[in-house]
Amino acid sequence: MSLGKAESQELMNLVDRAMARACSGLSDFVGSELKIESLSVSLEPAERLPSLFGGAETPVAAIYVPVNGMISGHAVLFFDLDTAFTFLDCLFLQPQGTAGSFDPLHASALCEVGNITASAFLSELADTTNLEILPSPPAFTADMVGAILNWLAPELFLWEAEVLVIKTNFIGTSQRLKGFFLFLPAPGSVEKILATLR
Amino acid sequence: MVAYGLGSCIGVALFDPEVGVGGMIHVVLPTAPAEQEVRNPTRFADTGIQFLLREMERLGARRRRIRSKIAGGARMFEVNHAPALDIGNRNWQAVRENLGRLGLPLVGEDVGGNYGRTMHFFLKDGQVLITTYGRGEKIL
Repeated sequence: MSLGKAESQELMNLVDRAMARACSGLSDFVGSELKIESLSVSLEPAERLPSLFGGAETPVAAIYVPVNGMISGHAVLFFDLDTAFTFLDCLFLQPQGTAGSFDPLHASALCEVGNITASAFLSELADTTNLEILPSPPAFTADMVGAILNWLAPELFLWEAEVLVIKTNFIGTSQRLKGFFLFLPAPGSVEKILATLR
Repeated sequence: MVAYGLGSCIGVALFDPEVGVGGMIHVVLPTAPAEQEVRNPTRFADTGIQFLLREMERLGARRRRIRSKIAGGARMFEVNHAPALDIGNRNWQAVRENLGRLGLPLVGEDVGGNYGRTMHFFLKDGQVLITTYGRGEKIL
């Protein structure tokens, strides 16, 4: 699969709007204005994915939202651990530096963060493409990024597939929040999205 | 030898202590696809274990002395509606079946659960060290 210049631009515009919507939803939820500091869309070889996050053993907080409907796949919001703890301190109205682990309440709160982000993104995608897209309830884990990625889509690592990666950094009023949003469409779904943009 | 960040994948280490010959493969899926050429047989339980055994025998290992250790096969997120994502369990079953079929005793395993593992295999003595994020270490 390859993206032409016009397709790339259309996709970038779509992702731009979708992430703006996601960021707005997230700002409302955490009660603090967040801005998108950087945003990029690219097709990356699947085997390179762990290196985007610092290597297979890098611990991350991940919120997974399975995607079904006319487009299916996996939406995952990754935070480095410090960012996840910063979000938790914001959400629980506690001094920065308080959160330092993930109990079930924390996991549930972060699931909501992922849910809002993914739902906003997918809503924009559905509105633009007129395709029905149904997010499922989110799930949370904090673990090695390589283990999460190879569980999500083991076959990608076999066939040297390229995957659509949306990278974004959020920035809060006082600190940089490092997050990656990854949308891994199932085989055939990227083509469906692109077909609606042509 | 190290297999980093095993999620649903399974690391399989085989070792013949008498001649000190060993090897490890990183299994991604239970079975190799029949309809297409398999460029890397070590990624599948059925073709990978057989391939590793053959390579070790070429180097002087003997099947009757070889012992196996495995790790991985996790289900990283609890999502009920995605049976296809229980690939870790299917990998585990396939690895066990193939080890049994080839007569390779399984002497150590750290499999399943909902967390990732890195598997370190030491050829000097056949020991396997499992490291995790936040769940400590284990020696097999």
